[in-house]
Amino acid sequence: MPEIDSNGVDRSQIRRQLKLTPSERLQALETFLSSVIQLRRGIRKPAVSQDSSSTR
Amino acid sequence: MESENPQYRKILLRLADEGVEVIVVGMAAAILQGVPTSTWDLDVVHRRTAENVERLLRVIQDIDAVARGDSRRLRPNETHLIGPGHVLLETKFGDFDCLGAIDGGRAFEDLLASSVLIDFEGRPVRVLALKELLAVKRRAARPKDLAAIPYIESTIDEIEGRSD
Repeated sequence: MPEIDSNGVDRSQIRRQLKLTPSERLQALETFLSSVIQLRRGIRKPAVSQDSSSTR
Repeated sequence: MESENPQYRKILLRLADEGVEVIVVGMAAAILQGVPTSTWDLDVVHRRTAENVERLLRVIQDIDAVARGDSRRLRPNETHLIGPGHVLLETKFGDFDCLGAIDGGRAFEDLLASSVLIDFEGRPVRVLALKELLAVKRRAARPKDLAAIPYIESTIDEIEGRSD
């Protein structure tokens, strides 16, 4: 359950991080960033034209 | 260049194995100490002796580091790293910044007393302590620094057992 403090920060997320080793914290970051990169790649993919005459 | 998969772990391990003296600063230092946030680069302040810069250059070569955003893809040399400037690099493991000094000219030696050693996969890795990182962010006071402050503050409170 979220426990938002006066800074607006969810203390349960901090506690979750503090249970990890430094290496695990960095691995979690890397996994997150890789997901963002994959998402961006999907968004940037050009749409395939439905109009075949435009490419011939 | 956006690295295919940022692998800051590998950069840290490579630095530790080569014996490069650095202090991890910035949000990577925060994350290593449990702050729930993210970053797109690994920032370090390196000791600017000829021997240490030589070790750092070996790592830079190994991780294919070149000047970020420079179409000439220049690899930094000793001259770039021996000074107090910021050398911003892109590498095969993600963006990696070698900072000669931070916080108005504080070098490795000036930050040493405010750093802590953490165990990173069996290697000692030096990071800027959270309270000092918080002070640096407050002094920098750019929007991105101000945005990080609540997360660092709350993490310090949590570590020290202060509830809200």
